[in-house]
Amino acid sequence: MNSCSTLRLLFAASLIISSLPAIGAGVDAQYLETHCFDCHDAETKKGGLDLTALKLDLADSNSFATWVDVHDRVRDGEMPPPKKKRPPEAETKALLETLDARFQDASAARQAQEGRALARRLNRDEYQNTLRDLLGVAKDYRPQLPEDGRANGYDKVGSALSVSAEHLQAYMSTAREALDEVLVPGPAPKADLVHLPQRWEQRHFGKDFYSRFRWTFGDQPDALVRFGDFVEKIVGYRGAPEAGMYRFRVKARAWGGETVKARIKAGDERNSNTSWVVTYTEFPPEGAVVEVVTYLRKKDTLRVSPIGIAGASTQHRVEQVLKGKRGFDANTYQGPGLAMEWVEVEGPLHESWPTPGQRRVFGDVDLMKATRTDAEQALRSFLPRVFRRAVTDDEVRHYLKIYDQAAKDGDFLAAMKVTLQAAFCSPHFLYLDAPAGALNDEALASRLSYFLWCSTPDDELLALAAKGELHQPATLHAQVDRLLKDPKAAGFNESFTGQWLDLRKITATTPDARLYPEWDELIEWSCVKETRMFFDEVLKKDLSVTNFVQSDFAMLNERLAKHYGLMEAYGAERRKLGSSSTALLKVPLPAGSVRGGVMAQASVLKVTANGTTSSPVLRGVWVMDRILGLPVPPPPPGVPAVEPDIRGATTIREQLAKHRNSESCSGCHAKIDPPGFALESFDVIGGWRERYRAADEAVKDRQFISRPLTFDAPAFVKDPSKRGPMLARIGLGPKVDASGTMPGGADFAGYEEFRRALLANPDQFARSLTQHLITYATGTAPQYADRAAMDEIVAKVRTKHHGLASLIHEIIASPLFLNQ
Amino acid sequence: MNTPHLPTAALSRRAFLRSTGVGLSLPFLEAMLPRFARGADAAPPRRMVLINKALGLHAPDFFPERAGHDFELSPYLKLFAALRGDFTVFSGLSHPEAGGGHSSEASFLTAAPHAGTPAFRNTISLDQLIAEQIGAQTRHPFLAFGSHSGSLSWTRNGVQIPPDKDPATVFRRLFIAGTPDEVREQERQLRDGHSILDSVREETAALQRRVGSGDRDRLDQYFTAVRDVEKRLQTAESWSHKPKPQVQAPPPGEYPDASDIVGRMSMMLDLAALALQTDSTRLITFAIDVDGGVPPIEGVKESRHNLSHHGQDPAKIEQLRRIELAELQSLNAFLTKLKSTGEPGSPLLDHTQVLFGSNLGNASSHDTRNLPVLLFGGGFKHGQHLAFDRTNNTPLSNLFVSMLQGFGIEAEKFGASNGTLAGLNQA
Repeated sequence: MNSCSTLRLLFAASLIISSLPAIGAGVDAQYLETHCFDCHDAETKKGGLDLTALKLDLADSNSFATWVDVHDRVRDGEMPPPKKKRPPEAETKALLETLDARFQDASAARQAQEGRALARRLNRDEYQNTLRDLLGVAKDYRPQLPEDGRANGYDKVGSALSVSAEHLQAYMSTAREALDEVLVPGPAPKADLVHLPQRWEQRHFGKDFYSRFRWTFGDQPDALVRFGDFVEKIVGYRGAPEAGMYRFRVKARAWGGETVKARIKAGDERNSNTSWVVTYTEFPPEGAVVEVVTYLRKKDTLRVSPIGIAGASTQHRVEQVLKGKRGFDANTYQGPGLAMEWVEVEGPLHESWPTPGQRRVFGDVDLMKATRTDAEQALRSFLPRVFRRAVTDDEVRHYLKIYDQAAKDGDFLAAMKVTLQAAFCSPHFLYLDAPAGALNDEALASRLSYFLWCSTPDDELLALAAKGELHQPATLHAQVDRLLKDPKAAGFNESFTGQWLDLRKITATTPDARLYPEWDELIEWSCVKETRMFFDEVLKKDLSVTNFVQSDFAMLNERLAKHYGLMEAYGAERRKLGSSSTALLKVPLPAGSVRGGVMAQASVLKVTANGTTSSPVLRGVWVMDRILGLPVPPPPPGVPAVEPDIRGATTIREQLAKHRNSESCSGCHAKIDPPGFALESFDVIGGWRERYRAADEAVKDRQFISRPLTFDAPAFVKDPSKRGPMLARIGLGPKVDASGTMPGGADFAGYEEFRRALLANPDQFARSLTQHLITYATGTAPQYADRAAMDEIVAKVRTKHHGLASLIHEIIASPLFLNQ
Repeated sequence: MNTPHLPTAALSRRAFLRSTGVGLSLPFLEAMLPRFARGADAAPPRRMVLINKALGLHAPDFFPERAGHDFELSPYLKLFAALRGDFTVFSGLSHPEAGGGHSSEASFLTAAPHAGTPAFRNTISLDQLIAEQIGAQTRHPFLAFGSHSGSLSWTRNGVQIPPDKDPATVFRRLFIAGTPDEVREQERQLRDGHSILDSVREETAALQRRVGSGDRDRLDQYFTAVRDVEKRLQTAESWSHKPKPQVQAPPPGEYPDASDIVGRMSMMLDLAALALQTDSTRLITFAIDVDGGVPPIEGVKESRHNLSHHGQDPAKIEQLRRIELAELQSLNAFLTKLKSTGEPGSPLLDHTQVLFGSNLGNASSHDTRNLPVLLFGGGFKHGQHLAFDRTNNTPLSNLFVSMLQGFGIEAEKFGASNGTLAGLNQA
């Protein structure tokens, strides 16, 4: 095989193919032939790589990426593999230098020509938040827009944010609806206040209901007592008269001793698909008033229901039900239950009238008397907000033309709505773009606010941009601090953690109720809050990013503390603060705790498992990508996945052993497996396990697990013998082996030693987070030419104890952020 | 060619309804059109329904062992015994390098490789490719149904078309004439639409002159979108004055809860049948998605997604079987309806290709090879099990090419195809 000349030919060809500055000759083809082609030629093609056919065509992004991978593997000493002959170091160095120089040139040239980042449209979250901040809309319009794609892990990356007719149609109708929601002429609508004493009244429930569910609530002179999750209806409330914001207050007390937890839900009562949990809360025996403010669509209702109270009464109730419902007297039953005294609903609420959105668009103009001059004035003042920059006279004229056209057969408001509808469909609104090179202050304001608020810049940012001051380092620094402190920074937290840590997938699977009976709705809700609040704590206090691997604190409520076995530490903290059991507190962890850090949080452990089993491979790949910043390529085609078996005879580790030991797989698995194995100590809901749980009924060895707090009534009635007991007996399978060997060769016995080994290199997490944040903030994953700037960020943040807020400041001050 | 809706019927509506004995009013079937309107030898319009059921089908119960015409009916296929001559069951098909576990739902009708990876970019789905070719022959060029969140239909630049997932809304759109107010509002929207699009077009063109080549590509997408919406407005305008077909079927009730997959499936398939029978559309996709809870089926205690990760637990497999049988029964009811309506001797099913399959061959291990696939009707020679290599799968796209050709579209290639599907021929 004459691969040497083939390669030269390829290089010659690449000169022609590449439109960027010529890639000169000088790559040591002899080196590749001697040390690489044995495995990476057309015949053997180890790992799917045929180097003899790989063009050094750096204009082609796939080819470029593969070459970078080749470079990095050789640089890290992974290739040639350890058992092959080592190439002379000088030759390796020379090859790497040549490649590095070329990559650097090609990547930098492309950036200079086209910019690092491409123009991109707003994603759904950004669009919604922008409408909220510009118009003050309360309705969530996201479900009306097509789902966004993601590239490099984020829905911020231009290549994934395509546009089609579906989008444009959705933008047209959504803009119209949003304008209709906010621009309402006439006097302020009256906010109704209804006070509803909660009493049993048949007319609110119906006859049939009475006979079927009478045993689920008690009738007291001053309250309706609910004993379960079955009837959530609020007596007498017929639903929201109009869409809008509503204040909801409920007075209730725990019935039968202990404090009772409750769920407040809103939405369409008849359709569980379109209702949502507003919050979880609790009521003490002496009673409390809980207030929430939430958006309701027309006819939406609210619901309150106690949760987690079945436990104590189950045996009693099972007996009663078996005897026949009449034998059970709900009115003398001692509970536990939730005695609801009264409920108040007030709304639709308006922050001001005219609405803030209307004032922002029209100022104090009376819409009934407005003229063309008012239209022009509104466009001059509002278009710069919509387009996030100053607008030209021509642009104002362009929109006035639309107004004039529409005003021919409509009134002022109708014509303005069409005009603004067009502005909200304009590429100037929908796209974030800037020419290659340094961002001007206006573009910088947008990049900043879409990074840290997931929304449009506010008046202050735009004013600083208009004065040309925003890019000044001290001003920029102060603005970053201001943005991070603003409540709108919740948009960053939600969007970033939703993707970086996959929190958006929290409901993707339902844990197997037989294997994991302790999973319930409250923990699902709590564990997402835990991770978000944890991120917030690290950010607000500028704590080291090593906290994501190990921290000496955790954000816990009672449900999480129970799940993690941390009731003592949590209890001490709660007594100090006297907070409710559903609220999350910062709790110092006892020495030696396996918790602390995101890898030991139930949310992360759940989204990296499938509800029934966890795979060390999937979790390992996840940790590599998210925590260590070293994404693993997908397995070569044709590798069968391991078929999980939960009958209890084999472990996934045993099943994997065969696969791992094969030579072509071992390269990647040496990196994937250590984190995967270490996390085997956590089950699919984030509980600590010494042994796997087994589904096979024949397994003799069993353990008692508390049933979920909540349970479901119809199943309870049909089959009480199975549903009744609050303790489930779970079969115990093989022992967990969480030991492994780090890629460097050090052995670890389990998760704690693994974690300690990781912590030896804090730069690694800083670099990983830099990659993720750069991708998120600039809409473009780090490119080859960015490596030096990334190194610099990591070096600077090292002197600032790797603090997360410091890291964000460094990223924003870096050329990667300040240039398009 | 637009099928004209002429009032003088060759077969009176009443007579037709009497003969079918079903409680449906089917006024616009081509059978009732005067012969001359359709042209004496014009073939009846071709139709296609493409269904993906996420989470696979339990393979041992689905695939027959024997290949060819004398294949035995597997436990699942027994349900379709009455339709034995009307379908082909395939084994050994998959999209090469589909990958991505559940993410491969996105590529079921597009064949784009590496779903779920960072570099994944989707492309046009089979139905959209056909819609591009045949244009707006019907009031709705296509319908994309979804039981939960997603649809199977993707545009050329890889955008998922949002699914129709509210049966009542679809029913209104297909069959219910608007009130005068609604009609006025719709006319206003169309009028406003034109001036908004004019504005956007002008701005995009101006912007395009200013930006670099990469950004120009992105703006091109926006330009295309403007043109496409313009076309849609025109189609909507051209149909806005024609009366919608009347059906006697009552409007669908409440969409069942997310956990009731079979309930949702049946309701959507009922609508699909009505849409085809009234020639409201000729292309329907239906994504039957991952569920949200325990389906209300006797003997089932866990959610379908959970059960698909059965880990070989026999108790779970038994529950899974119950769900899948119920799902296939719902499909069977739909097919039987298509088989029993249409011209005498030429049932609707004969002109309607119905593809039913899954993007997962083994949901327990998220394996995307050896997909369960069935093709019903559409004028093919059926009644066989076409078995391909279970180790080296044949591209599912080969079947798509055959289906395109069966639809009368001159296509040589789709996705990763390397030909048509051997053994599948037109009758």
